[in-house]
Amino acid sequence: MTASSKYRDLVTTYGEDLQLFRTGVRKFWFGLLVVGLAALPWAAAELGGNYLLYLVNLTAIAAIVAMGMNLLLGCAGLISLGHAAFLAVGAYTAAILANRLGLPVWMTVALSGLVTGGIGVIVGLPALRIKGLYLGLATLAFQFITDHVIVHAETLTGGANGMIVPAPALGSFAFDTDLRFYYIAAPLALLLGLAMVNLQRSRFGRALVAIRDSDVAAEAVGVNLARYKTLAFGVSAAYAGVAGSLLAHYLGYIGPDHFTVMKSIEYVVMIIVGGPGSILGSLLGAIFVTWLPEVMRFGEEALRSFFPHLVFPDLRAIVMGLVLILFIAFEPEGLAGRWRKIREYWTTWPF
Amino acid sequence: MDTLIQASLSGVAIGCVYSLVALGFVLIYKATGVLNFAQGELMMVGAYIYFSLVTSLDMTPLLAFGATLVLAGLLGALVERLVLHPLVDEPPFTLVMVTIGLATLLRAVTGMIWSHDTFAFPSPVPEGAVHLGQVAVPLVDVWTMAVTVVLSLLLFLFFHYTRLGTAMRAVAQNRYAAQLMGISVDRIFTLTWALAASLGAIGGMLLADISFLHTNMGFIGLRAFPAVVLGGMESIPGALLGGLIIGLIESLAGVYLDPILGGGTHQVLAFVILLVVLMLRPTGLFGATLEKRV
Amino acid sequence: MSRVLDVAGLDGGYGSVQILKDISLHVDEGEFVTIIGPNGCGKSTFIKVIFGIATHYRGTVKHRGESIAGWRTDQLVQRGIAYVPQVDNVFPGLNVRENLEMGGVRLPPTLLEERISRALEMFPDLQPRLHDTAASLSGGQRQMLAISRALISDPTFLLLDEPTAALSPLYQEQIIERIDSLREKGITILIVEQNARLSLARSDRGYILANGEVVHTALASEILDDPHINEYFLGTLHD
Repeated sequence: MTASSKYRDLVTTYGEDLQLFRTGVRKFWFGLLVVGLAALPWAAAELGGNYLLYLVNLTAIAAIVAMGMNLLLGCAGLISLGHAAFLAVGAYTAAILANRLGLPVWMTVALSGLVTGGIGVIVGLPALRIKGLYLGLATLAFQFITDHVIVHAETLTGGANGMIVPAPALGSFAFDTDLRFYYIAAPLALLLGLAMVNLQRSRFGRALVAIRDSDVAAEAVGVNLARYKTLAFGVSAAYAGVAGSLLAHYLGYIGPDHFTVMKSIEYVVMIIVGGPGSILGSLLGAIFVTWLPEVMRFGEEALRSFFPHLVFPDLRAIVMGLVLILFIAFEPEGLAGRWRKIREYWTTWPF
Repeated sequence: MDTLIQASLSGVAIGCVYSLVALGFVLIYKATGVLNFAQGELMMVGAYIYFSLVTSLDMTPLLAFGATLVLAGLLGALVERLVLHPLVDEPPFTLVMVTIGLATLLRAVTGMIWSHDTFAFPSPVPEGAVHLGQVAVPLVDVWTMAVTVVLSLLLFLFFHYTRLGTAMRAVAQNRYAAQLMGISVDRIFTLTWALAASLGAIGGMLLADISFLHTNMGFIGLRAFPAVVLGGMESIPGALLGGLIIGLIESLAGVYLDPILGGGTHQVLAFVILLVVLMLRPTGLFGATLEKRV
Repeated sequence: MSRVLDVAGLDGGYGSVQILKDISLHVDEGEFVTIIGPNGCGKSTFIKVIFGIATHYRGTVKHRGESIAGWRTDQLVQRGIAYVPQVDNVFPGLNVRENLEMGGVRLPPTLLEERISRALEMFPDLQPRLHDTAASLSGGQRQMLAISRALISDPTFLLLDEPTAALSPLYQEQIIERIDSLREKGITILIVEQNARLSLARSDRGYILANGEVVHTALASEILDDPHINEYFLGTLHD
């Protein structure tokens, strides 16, 4: 007999725990999400025209990056301070493939993901020997070295001038408007999100959490540290690579300025603001980091009257720095954590 | 041969700057356990303060120098009190993230106030060079080396012959015991940040003098990281030596490697060295072995 | 004449973990009192609660009639109470002289010099090693350094946490003997020890702690002769 509705949320078997959509309620909400996402661009276009849609697209791309970073930082506890470098690898790979080989978009994106994932595994190899802070330093070094290679390998990357990237196309249908691009970016982000949820619940995900808590204990229960750490880097990098390739096709042009250390820091802020370890956190962080500086634009003119040298990137950076510090100080579990606490509060309210 | 000597000497000069930055890192790390990613930015702010004092307020170099040290020290103390101190019990990784946020803030605010243009630095040292045979050593390089030597000496005397300096060493070695003896660990932390900021300011003034004033100076400070790691994170002589080594390698690479591998190689070399050191000997040349206690 | 230390009904522990239950004990002027007990019985915790390092939940802790419960360490040091922890009690990278200086970091230089000379008189073994780093000292010498460092603040009440732990028998004797001799300078001593016999031999009175409670108290000589001492240790016997 089925359990009474009161207990429907209780998980009684392991198999149930692994199921992606446990209850009918969850399936309903997910369906609503899909419908909402499909309708979103029309609403955005109504409200704010193309610029708003542009931000939505950027958010989708950022969400993909955040999900990858969250796997690394939130689950495995491995610090990446140079994640923009992975985006760069993905973006330039896509650009080169599209320009030199004329490959269609689905191939460039997939290949970029693979290539970047491969590089991620290689970068992850030193991670086996280096811990914590030192790993952060190493990833930062990787970022700067990548910066340097981008600027100096001119024949490959166009150097400081960057590269032009053709818009994504399927046959003769080009996704060259913001609205059309949305229907590549959003579904892809959704798909990758589902994949990440699955991954986190799998043996792989659990192994990563074990590693985060204690290397030594994890090894003691038979977790192959080497394999999982490098895989974590690989998957995380692959996500960033996919995001990078999407970015390249969307912007139509990439240059070294798109992948600076400041961008890497923004990705870290995304994770901290959203909340380490959760998919919801990735999304919330991506939204926050993409939209907050835009909101701050309203104050930009006012601020510029006091500081005539103010440029938007500075305003962005100030917001990022403040947000980072404030969230660490006051909201270390991020927005997702706060949301969880609010939900808990409401469900236990009478007590 | 002359090129070698020339490159080496200019390498030592820039190495001195790296040493000072590395010194700032090590001071804070030793005492508080925090790796201050904003050390490069503190260096940058110091240089800008001096710049404004001299160009906008027409201060004499000596007065401006003193005022910069004081203002930088105050900034360091303020940062410690307002941002680090409330978070003192957080794990080191969290505090490092906070310093990254700080670095971002400092750089953006500096750009907001002064813009991101490049400025020529009002040098207290006359133009010209010292000539040793065929080798010409710019006076500013000599000045940098001299300041660094004097500073190192003063710091040594401070840490070993004054009570405050000894107390700072004590706190760095054993915070717990220091607290039990009634030493105010809080005050020592604040002083450490103030000192590191002032040191950074001196490094910044020297760097801006050697090259130019620009908001990217903080990134150059990051090139001192390999020096810190090479020196073993907690060793002051190690940091000084590490900085000189990095400077030398960079300079020599600039002369000998750049023509082969393309311009700018020497700039990224520091990070390649960092990666190599981290992978081969993360505890540096002087550091203690990292033990993992279970 | 109020007691140097008067503790009644003390509950204490670390954060939310309670270790001590209803401890009552006292130390009178000029006494040498030893607290003994098996590992984990809470004797170290007790000293730490007194000195403000562990958490005091409830109960009275009075020093010469005034409550010192929850006081900060620097306030206690000013009252003439000094504490020598079991480990981490010296600065390994500083030399002997610098370690001693840190014991009196706020004192004017001449007074500090006086106190340092006095401490060296009491522990002459340290004199030849004045400029050697604390890390290079032997265990026994390091302990002497820790104790002499505590004396710099001119305490009248000294709390020591297992001063003879991990020392060779020769040094153990020496340390206890020196601690005993401090009484001639008018210092009251409270020791927490594993080496029961050695410390009790020179003490006036003793307390046995087990499972966070005082299970027995008597004159030191009585405890030494007591055939049931083991049972107290195991907690199978309780007053």
